[in-house]
Amino acid sequence: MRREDVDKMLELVSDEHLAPALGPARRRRHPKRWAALAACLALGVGLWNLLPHLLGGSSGSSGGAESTQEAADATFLSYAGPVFPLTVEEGGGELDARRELTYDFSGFAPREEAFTAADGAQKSYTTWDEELQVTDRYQLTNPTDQDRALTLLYPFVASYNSLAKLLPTLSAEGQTLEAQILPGGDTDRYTGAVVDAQSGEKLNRLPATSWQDYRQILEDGLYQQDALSGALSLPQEIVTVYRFEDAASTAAENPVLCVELDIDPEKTRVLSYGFHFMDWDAETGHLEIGFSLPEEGESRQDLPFLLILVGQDVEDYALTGSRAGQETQEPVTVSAQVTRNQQPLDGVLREVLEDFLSRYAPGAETLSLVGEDQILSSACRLLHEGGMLSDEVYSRYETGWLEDIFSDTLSSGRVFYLRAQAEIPARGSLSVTASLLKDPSLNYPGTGDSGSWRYDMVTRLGSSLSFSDLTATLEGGQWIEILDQNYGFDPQAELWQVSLDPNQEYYYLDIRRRAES
Amino acid sequence: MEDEKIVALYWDRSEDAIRQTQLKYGRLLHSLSLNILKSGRDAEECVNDTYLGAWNSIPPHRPSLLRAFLCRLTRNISLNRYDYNRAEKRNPECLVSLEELYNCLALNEDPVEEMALGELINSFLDSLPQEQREIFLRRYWCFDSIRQIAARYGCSESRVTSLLFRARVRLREHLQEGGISV
Repeated sequence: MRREDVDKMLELVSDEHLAPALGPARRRRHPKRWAALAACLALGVGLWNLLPHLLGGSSGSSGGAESTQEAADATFLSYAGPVFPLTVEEGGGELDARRELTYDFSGFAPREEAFTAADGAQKSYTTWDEELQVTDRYQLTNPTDQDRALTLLYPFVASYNSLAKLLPTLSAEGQTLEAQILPGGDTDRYTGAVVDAQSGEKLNRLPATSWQDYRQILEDGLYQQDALSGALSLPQEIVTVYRFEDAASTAAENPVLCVELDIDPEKTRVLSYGFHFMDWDAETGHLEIGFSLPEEGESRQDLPFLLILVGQDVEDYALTGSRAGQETQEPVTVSAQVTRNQQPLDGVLREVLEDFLSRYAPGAETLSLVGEDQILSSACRLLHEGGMLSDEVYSRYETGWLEDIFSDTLSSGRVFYLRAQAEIPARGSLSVTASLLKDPSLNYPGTGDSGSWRYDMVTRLGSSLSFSDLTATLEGGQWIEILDQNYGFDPQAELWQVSLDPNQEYYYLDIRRRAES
Repeated sequence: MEDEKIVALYWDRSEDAIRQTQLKYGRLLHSLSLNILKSGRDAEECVNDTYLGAWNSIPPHRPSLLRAFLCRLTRNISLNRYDYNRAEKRNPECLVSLEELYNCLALNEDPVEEMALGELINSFLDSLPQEQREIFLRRYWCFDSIRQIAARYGCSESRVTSLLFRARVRLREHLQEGGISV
């Protein structure tokens, strides 16, 4: 038998044999203990992530950073993302582009705000802003003899939760443009309990830690292309929904309702809402999923407890009872009004999202900006990429709890794009301005160089425009102390406006707020 | 989206077919290609070629197991790219994996009839327990590392190594019983 026969033999493996091996991993579980273990591991990874920062490793640059490269390699536990350049969807082509950035720290100045104390007395306290006001101006010139219609794109980093605060205003010639908000995919990565890329485990989210993470995400253009292609259509397959209402028990303290059913994961995937414990035996397919019964006056009392079976319905299930945290001598009897219906998946996901937003997230403002369908689309994407509807379910989402999916969808970082139409006349020019608030990138107290706040800016990443001129101006400089930078601002010489090299990819500014000025 | 609907999109010549394929299987295909090529850029190109291959072959094909169909395309494209690259870039894991089989089975230059090979490999796989069968395929079809397999199946690396060793010996015996000279 020759080597090529071995190769050929492997090619002849049947699809039926291949399909299970190419499907999602099915690992043996240790029932009853996994939730506590996951919690411990989650805590562990938090500490593991902190370790290099606690030890003063490669976190945030200090005033002693000797080179831009060293500063560029710095990582942050809370990274706010860089200020990106404007781009044009059709391609910048022959346009001449000039960019002028203004960083205004005036909001860092202390101010007095009045309040009425409990005893009715008028008092005041001192406060200040912690966000930088950025004004990102562009002068676009059309050197041709043809008028040009442009689709402007302005990228910025935010999450759905922070969108209302961080959303830029885009204007042209002083007039605010009507802009569409297009969210990209989430930019968080995943890691195992211990940060170990080799394990491939996906238990904890790992947000971007430096501008280089964004460079990796954006430089091939696929992320932007995907974001601009709009929301994915929502899944409309018919699913079976079990609702558990009026749950009651014979146990006076901490009764738990458990639904027991047998699942073939090849045929049925289980999503749930309101449930918060789960045991699954991969060998037998036996699933136990449950929730503690809400007590009188508890906010969960009106929570819809939903079990959603995607794919094949189960033939039977059993309701069993127990007492949370205790082995009981007496059997605990539970009962609930269970209704079963079939409906499109998008409908039940919409119901859950609305309930989730009303309970756990300040959703109204975000909803008014992007709409329910857009958030649902992002959540469905997560469900398909790593959630229970994926072929490779991440450890993080193996419970099928929709709270995890919606919570991560709303809180994870992503690049949003503001898309607006504008025209630039032949041989004419157009002034475009983006105004935005920018959070600092920082490390937490006690971790690395926690006294320094970083603001990053990139000059070319993701942009089709070619900039011939780039300047930066700093206002309110008396309220900050510059610790490190590669702009060239000189507070001693009161040099607050500098020309920058448009071909230098990355600029950074490390500051500390002055307590008094 | 269900596989049947994705296949129907291909038959409708809807470009959404590619997008839905990418969404559902993009990561799987990329990891398979990456196992072979160990280059993110090459793997990306091979996965894109897979989409093109699927677009060109559905129709006339209507694969009943889309996942296996796509993985087979990706594997073949990636192995071709691997052959093209191998003079300059050798991927140790892919070589190690194949060498394990070559060292056990390809001990002479006697050619084997293709039909016999197909029957023997599939009857051999039928004879293995489910987990061992999957581990065998993850190693020699997908080129997963021992560590990746151990993580995937929640067992130790030594157990994976042991299962693979026994599977190779069994395959050799199975081929010999089928009249193949290894």
